[in-house]
Amino acid sequence: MASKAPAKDAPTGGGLRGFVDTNSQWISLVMRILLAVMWFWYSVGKLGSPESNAQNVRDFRLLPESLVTPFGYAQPYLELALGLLLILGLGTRLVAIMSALLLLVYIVGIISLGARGIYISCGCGGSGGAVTKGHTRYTLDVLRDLLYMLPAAWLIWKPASKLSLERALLGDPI
Amino acid sequence: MTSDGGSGGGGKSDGGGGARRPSGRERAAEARRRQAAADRRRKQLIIGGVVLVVVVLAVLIGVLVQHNTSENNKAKRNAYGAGQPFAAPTGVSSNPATQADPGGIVYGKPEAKVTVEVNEDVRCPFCKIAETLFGAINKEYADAGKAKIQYHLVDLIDRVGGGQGSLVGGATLACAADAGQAQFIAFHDLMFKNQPDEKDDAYGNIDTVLNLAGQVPDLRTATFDACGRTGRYAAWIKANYDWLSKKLGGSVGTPDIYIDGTPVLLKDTAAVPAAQQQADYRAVLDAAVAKQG
Repeated sequence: MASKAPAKDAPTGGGLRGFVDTNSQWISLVMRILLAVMWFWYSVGKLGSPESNAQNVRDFRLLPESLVTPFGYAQPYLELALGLLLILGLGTRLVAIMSALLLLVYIVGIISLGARGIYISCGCGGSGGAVTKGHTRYTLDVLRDLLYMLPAAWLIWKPASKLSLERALLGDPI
Repeated sequence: MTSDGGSGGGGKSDGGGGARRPSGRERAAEARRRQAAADRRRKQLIIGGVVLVVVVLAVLIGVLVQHNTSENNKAKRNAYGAGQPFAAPTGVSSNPATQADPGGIVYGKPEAKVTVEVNEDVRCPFCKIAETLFGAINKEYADAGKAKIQYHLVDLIDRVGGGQGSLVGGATLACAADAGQAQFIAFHDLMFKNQPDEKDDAYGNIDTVLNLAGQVPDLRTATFDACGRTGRYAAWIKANYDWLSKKLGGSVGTPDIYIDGTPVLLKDTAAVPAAQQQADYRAVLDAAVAKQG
């Protein structure tokens, strides 16, 4: 569909730009899968143990106690839902925006831990709990979440992708 | 909201007809295009609505399911030792032991002047590290009569991580105090040495705990087994948690160690080598002993 440019000025498929233009829907598919896998990975570790996830949330000391438990309980299911919607390719831009916002919350949370001098093993991917000073990996954690921002940002920019339920429903070529 | 792709052909409806009136066919095509665009927007709105509903449902279901799981876990924990009145193991530090002041299990001569207070959880990995670093030193000073150790066992990991290993393991360890100090400390060290991964609730199974106790000489008697199985000291463990929580202002963390009231912080061994921490620990102990004369 995109520019069947005459071979004069526009360098057809020349360089990264051309590649991205011609394959953006395939790239978006890859980004959807990447982001979905990340959400599944985040979610699965927390599904089994509501108490420990609530405690991980509590350890951040950001939310009031009355919100700690609901957030801790809902969090893995929210992540699971985002992952599922991404795999299906439904409302991709909206889901990408929500993903980016949630990641932003995580990033701000981790940065604020460092700023406030709270030492915990940040539980986004694995186990949580208090650790001693020097045992934290906040920089790595923030970098990791920033890295995951990339597919979210791409999908906000180019949500149209191959093999998405949304395009099938809209009657576009899938 | 989504999908910018695929709409290549549209648009250009404005300026096109400047000079010439659009023919009937063109107008019909334009109407069809508008209709198609409106349909598309409507579908996109519906999809957006479905996405929002899915997300909200996920949150609601999540809270319900997790709440249910958590309540089940709590019920299982409460079942252990249910109906047993509060009782403290032999030789605890408070006399009489009460719900509000349950006391710690004493190792060493009760008249020793220096007191080492160790608040720990048999499931807590950092407690295991603390035991590895300081356990032998504690024992050495206690055996020499220079200090007495008071072990307050709590069920922190159960509460924050689910399961009942802290409670079942801790209460059964408390039963060992009834058999004697030697049996208690041997079982205590064995439990930390064999501590399962934090997420593995192996100590929640009383048979696992009793089997481990079988390795300690002169410990497993019918009385001991019954004490462990009925959860005789479950209430004592919970009372110790409440006691510690009150002491720490609501935020319980283990291990929590004091030498004559001075807190000793376990540090990351990557930052402060084990040998250094042990030397520091001895120094604090020696200072306390010297001060007490």
